[in-house]
Amino acid sequence: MTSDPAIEIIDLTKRYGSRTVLDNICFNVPRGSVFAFLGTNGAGKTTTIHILLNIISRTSGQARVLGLDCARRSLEIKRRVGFVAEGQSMYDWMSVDEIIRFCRRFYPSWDDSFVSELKTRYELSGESKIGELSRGTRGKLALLLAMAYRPELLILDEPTSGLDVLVRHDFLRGVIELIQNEGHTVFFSTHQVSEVEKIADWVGIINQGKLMWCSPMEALKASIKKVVLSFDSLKPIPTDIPNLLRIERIGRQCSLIIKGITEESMSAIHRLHPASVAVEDISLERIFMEMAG
Amino acid sequence: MLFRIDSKSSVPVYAQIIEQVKRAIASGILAKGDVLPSRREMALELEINPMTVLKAYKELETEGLVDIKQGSGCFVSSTPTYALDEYRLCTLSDTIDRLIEDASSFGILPVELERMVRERIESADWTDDTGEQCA
Repeated sequence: MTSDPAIEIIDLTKRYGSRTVLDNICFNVPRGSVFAFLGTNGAGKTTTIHILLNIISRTSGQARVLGLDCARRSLEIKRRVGFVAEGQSMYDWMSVDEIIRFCRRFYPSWDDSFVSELKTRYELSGESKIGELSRGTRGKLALLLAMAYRPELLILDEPTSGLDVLVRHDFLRGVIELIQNEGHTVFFSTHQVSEVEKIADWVGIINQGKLMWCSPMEALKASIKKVVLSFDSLKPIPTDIPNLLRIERIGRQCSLIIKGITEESMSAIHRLHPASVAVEDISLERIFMEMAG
Repeated sequence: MLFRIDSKSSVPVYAQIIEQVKRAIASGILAKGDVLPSRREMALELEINPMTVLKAYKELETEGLVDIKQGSGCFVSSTPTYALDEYRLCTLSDTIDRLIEDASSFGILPVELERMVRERIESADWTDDTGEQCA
């Protein structure tokens, strides 16, 4: 096993005419990680993934998947990567077993026993016609087909968008099964933070085509804090505290959201002579709203 | 299942598992030699990354609270440890600190708080290790 990143993106830019949808983004997805790629609708998540899978071309920059250039080696990449997208189209006229047999031929590492295990777990009947399946069941079938060859890298593009909560749980459990063995990487794009915050160990946040953040989950959670101040009297709070993202206040208490607390931010806070100061953690969802909102 | 994860909390998931295992051992829910859920079971049940479970178990092992036996699972260690005593004391100290903080912000005097605590202790249904009622 090599140690180069599962995905490597360097100065990647995509323009449609004068509109820039990806603006010079740079990040790596380490091997063995579950990487949550967070962004609101239209932030550039799908564009990034489509470049990685050579569905669209890049304007400039580099993108490598499993060490391979995504445009020149796309066939090999497709063989080693599993991909599930929201509302993926499949051959509606085939039955579940037919599409499984059809896909099986393309992948040397196809795992029959894993497939039958997943079929049972997802309650997929082999004879059902794909065109007659519910959205949730189609989603599960798509995940089965993407995991059946135990891909080194699983790319999920808003896979559970519009699916009910039970199917979402099945989906997450499927992903957990895949990563039981070390070395499997999952790149999970979503705008629903709650979906990935327990399972992801890396986070990238993209907003309006720009990468706002990329780090291990713990580093992100450690870097943004809420500082709660209480005062003896009502007084205005200056907004020139270093790295301040937001101020909220009720009565004699106010809370400051600060990105990357430094000595300077803390001494600026103490100069306000608060009666008490408490530094608190905030949730990933809140962090995401601050960065992408 | 004994364990639960608060995904809204900013306490890392592995630290939440460590805390809950310690609490379960400290309070006797998990006793010496008991087996913890396997990495796979725990990951599927809590919908978390299996590596996170492994990280928590390894740290508990370093602290001497569990033994990881290759192939057969993770067991509560049979030797009582310093880490457990420390956990008990820290947990109680934190709770007491919060109590004092609240009392002080409510303007309650120390002597008043002391009296309230003593009253609560006296009316509590208190059992020691041997299961006998304490005075």
